Amino acid sequence: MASPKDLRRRIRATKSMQQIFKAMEMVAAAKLRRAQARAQAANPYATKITAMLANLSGSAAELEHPLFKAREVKTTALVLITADRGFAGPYNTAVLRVAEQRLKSAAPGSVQCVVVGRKGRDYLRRRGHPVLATHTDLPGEASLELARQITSDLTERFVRGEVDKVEILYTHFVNAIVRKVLTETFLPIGTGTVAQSAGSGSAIFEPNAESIFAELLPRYATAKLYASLADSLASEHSARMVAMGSARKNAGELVDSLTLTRNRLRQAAITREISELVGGAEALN
Amino acid sequence: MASLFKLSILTPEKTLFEGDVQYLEAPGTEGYFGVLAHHAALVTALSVGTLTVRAASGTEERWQVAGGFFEVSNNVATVLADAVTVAKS
Repeated sequence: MASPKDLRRRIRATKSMQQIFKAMEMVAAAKLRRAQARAQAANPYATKITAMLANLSGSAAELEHPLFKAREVKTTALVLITADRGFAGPYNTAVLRVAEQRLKSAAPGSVQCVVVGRKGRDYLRRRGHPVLATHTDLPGEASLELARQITSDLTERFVRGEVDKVEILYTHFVNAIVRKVLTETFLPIGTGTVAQSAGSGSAIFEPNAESIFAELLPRYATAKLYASLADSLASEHSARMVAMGSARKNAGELVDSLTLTRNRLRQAAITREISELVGGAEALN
Repeated sequence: MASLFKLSILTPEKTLFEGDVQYLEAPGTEGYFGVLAHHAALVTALSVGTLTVRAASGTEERWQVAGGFFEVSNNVATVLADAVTVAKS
């Protein structure tokens, strides 16, 4: 049985933790709102560029580009989008669990990782999985600059033939409570990702369809990666908000039960003292 | 009254402009071009330069764009710009 002094100390410590959880919850909620707005603001561009690509590949007959060509897959690069920080509930572990399965199901060495976020990097390092590139110390908001950098790195590797396929593993934000870990093919930009549509067909292309196509593909890839980053960031903040909310609630329950124990202990001590006094007085009579 | 067409200027990060306009001038890779309402369907790449838009009210607005794309069909035009800053007039 803990002494009253220990109990008091634990109550105080739990209360201050509760305050920290509450503060972190509120910070995450504020950041979630911003991240969500950012993710939504990227939507029109992404939708439009996808439509343009579909239109282009539908109207002009044979367009060829290295990024558009599927080939036999010997090595796959897996882009893992995780967070720099923990305390986000199952956010990081959910991504890493899927990654672990993906790595296990493939032939050893055939899947290499490009990792975003310190948590993912640390995990892969502990497990000794091959890592192609790491990006840590992420900016607080989804950064187009980072998306460009990762995309150009990946497209170069793809064009050079170092990797034959690139997949992205990220967390899709459904709503504040529901998140989904998704795996999507990033490169080659296949006919699978771009729905072939008949399109307007008669559009004039200037200077010509091929060069627009060549310009469009890297931008499409960047927009897609940027969207995944923004989506993941919103998921991270929502996961953290939920985790901190339940931590705060648990701390509250702990404080209640500790307080109850403390009061019982105090009452027991008082009762004991009274009965001792009464016993002493009776002995005198 | 000049006839209008719909224009949206989009960047990967956000929507910059959306609304009805009279006229648009953009820096194509083959030189500046102007677009009025009922333009034929066109898709083109943009280079670095100034984007000029005359809104429905007749006021002109300018932006600096650093490459991207322009598409117009059925009186709906879209500028997909890589990066845009407001130009000083």
